[in-house]
Amino acid sequence: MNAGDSHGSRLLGTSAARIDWLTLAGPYIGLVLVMGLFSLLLGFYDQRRLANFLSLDNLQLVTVHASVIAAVAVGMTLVMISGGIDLSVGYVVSLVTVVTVLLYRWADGHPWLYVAPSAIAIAGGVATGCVCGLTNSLVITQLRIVPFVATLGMMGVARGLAQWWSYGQPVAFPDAVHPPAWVPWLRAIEPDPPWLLLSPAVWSVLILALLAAIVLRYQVLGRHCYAIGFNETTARYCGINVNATKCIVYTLAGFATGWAGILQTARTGSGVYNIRAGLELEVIAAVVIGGGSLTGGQGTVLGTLVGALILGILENGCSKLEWRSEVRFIIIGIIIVGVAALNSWRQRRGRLAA
Amino acid sequence: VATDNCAGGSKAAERLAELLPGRARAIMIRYQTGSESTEQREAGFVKEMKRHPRIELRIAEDEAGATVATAQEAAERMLSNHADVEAIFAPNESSTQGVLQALRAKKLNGKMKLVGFDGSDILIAAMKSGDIQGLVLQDPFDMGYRAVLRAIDALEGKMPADPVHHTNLRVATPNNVDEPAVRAMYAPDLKSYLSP
Repeated sequence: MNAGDSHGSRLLGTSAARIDWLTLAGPYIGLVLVMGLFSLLLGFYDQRRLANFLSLDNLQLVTVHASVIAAVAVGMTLVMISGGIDLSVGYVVSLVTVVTVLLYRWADGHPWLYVAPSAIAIAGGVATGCVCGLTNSLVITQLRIVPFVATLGMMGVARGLAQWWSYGQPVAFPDAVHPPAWVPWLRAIEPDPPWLLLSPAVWSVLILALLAAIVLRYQVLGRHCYAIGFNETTARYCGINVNATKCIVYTLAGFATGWAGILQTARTGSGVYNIRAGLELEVIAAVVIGGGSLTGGQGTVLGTLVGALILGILENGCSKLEWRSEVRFIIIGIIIVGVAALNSWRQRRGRLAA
Repeated sequence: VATDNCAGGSKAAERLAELLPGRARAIMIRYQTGSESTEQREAGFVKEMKRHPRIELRIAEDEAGATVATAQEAAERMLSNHADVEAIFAPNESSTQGVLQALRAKKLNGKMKLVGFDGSDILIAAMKSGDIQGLVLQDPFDMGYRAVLRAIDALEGKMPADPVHHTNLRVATPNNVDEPAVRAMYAPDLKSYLSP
C-alpha cells in the first residue's frame, strides 16, 4: 500500500483512507511528542531552563538553526517525491558560500560594472545551485545513471571546486569585520525590525516552502512528480515527459540549495569549502521524518518543514538539558529508524485493511 | 616536533584571567570528543583556571563539532543557556570562528570576551576590530623547519637528548597583534623562502 493506492482508497471511503490520514498527521504528532517530552524533562531538570526552552527567543534560535536544513529539504522533498535523491547538497551549499563571497570580492574590485556587488554575488550564488541541480538532472536522464551515483559524483566535483577556488581556507568579504548590510541582516537571530518575530532568513524559507507546496499541490508539474515517483514506467506510458520533469525538479531543488547557500554565507560571514559537509543526511532525515520516502511518491512540503523543526528542537532540547552531543546523535538516529518503522507498519496494515 | 597543546591551553587561561578582574564567570566550548590536540588544550585550560578560583568556569557539553557552522550553532545554544558568562574560550580555529560568528549574530561581539586558538585572516581581523581579545598562536613554520633539522640529524645518526621538541607558542592580543614577532607567527614571510 502506498500513497498512489490510498488516494484511490480515499475516494472509495475504505479504512485505508484513515491510515493515509494517520501517515499525513504523523509528523505533527511527532512534533507535539518531542516538544512535550523535552518540556517534561526540562521541568524536572530546571524550571528556568524550561521557561527559556518555551520562550520566543528560543523559538527564534531553533528556527534560524533549522533554516538552512529546511531550505535544502524543501528542494529535496520535490526530488524525493519524484523518486530521486540528491547527495550533493552539503558540498553544493558549501560551494555556494565560496562562490558568493568570491564573486562579491571580484565585483567589489571592478566598480565599472555599475551593478551592486551584492546583487552579483547573490545571483551568482543561487545560479551556482541551479547549475549544479541542472547538471545532476542531465547526468541522470542523459547518461542514465541512478540519482544516488550521479549526485555522489556532483558531491565530489562541488567539493573539489570549492576547495580549489578557496585554497581550502575560509574566504572573507573584502572587509571581514564589516560585510555588506544583507549579511548581518540575514544572520541575526532576533529579526530587524522586531515585529517580524522570526528572522528574515526563516521567512524566506517559509516563502520558498509555500511556493514549492503550491507547485506540488496545484500545478501539473507537482502531479507529474508524484506520478513519476510512484511508478516511472506508468508515468511514461501516460504521456508524461519524465526527463523534462526531472530536469525541472532538480533545477528547482538546486535553486533551494543555492538560496540555502546564501543563508549559510550570511550566517558564517564567509565562504568555507566544507562548511556544510554532511548536510545531505540531515536533510534526508528531515524529509523522512516529515513523511517522505526514499522509494518516491510520498511526502509533503509542510511535513518536511515539521521534520526539520523536529531535528532543530532535538538539538536545542538536548543542549538545554546539557546532554553531551553523542547522546543527541543516538537519539536522532533512533527517531529516524522509528519513524521509518512506523511508516512501514502503517503501510503493511493498510494493505491488509484494503 | 609539535605544539605543547597543554601549555597552549594554560596560556589561554592566563589571558582569560587577565581579561577578567574580580569575580567573574567564563565558559569553555569543547571541540570534539576524540580529537587529541584539542582535548589537551582543554585540559590545560581547565587546569590553569583552577588557579583562579575567583572565576567560575563552566564547560558546555554541547560540543562545537567539525565545522564553523556546527560550532556557531553550538555556541548560540550555549549563549542562550549561559547568557550570564563574561568570557568564552574556544580550543581551535573553526570553533573560535564559530563562537565569533555566534557573538556577532547575537550582537554580543566586543561585549563578551573571546579567547581562541590559531590565527586565520578572519580571526586576526576580528582581533583588530575588538571582537577577539586573545588568540593562542602556534608556529607551523617553525614546526616544518625543526622537523627537517630533526630528519637530517636522524640521517646522520645523531640522537637529540629530548626526543620531543615543542615549538613556540604566543598569545596574540589587540596590543601586540601588529608586532613583527607576533606577525611572523600568523603571517610568516613565506615568499622569501618559497619563491625561486
